[in-house]
Amino acid sequence: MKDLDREASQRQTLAFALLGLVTIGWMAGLAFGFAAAGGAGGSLVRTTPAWLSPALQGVIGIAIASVAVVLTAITRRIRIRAHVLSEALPRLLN
Amino acid sequence: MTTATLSRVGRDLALPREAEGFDMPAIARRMWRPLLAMGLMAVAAGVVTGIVQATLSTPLHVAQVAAWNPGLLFLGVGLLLGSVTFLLATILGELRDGGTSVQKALGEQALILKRPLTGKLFPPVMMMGLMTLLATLVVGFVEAARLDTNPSGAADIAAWVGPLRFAGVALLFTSVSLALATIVRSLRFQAGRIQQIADQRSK
Repeated sequence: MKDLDREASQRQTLAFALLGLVTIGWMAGLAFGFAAAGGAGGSLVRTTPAWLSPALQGVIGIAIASVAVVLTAITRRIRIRAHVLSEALPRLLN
Repeated sequence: MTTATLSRVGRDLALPREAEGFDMPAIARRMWRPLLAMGLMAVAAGVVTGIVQATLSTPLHVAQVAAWNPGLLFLGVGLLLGSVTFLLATILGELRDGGTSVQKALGEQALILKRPLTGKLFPPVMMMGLMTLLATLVVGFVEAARLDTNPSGAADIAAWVGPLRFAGVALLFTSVSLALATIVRSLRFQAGRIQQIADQRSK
């Protein structure tokens, strides 16, 4: 039970870390978009239209992966809940 | 065959745990990891290809990569959404097994929710979404090949393949919604079953 609890907590933390990455990603994407629209110099900004959309789809991919990680944490919490109910409910009803 | 063993729990139909035939959550438990890994790899490959595309100097090559790379990225996103759908099926399996263990601990017959229509629909809808995205990736390569010899044909393909990609993603989101709706039914069933057991014991 402690293992399941630890795993669930670790996965929640990982999901939050991924969400942090996603937030940084879309903010950087917006910044590059505005920089490209403003006609700023630099080769990176000039080539932005070519790579920005794929990069932002990568950000969406990380966001969906974080959803998957949270769902694995939920799976473990459901197992813990089932175990606790199996233990406690008979004592409460009898 | 299972109709003889059906009973009613609240508004839902129930059947004994041992009467369930096809075990979808068992397949989902094995499949979500490969789908997640393939999705992440496809998205990473798409991002790298986008960076390579930005360094290309020949307009034809840029257009050719632009023709198939969105298909690769959409397929990656689709595989990730497929993994999410399988994880939702895994959650359904955990709810079913957890409910079974609680009922057995109470000394009652273990009843499970008879799979509702949403539960029957979400796996094929997910597969349809993934097949659509796979097809659009192939069509993207065909479009890229035609850019050199038949540009107007390539433009025709580009006109419909983009919306088809979004249709594939829409199908995958539909499957996620259907799986979530099944989870809602499963939670309602469990509450109803506990209520039923308590009512039987208080009589």
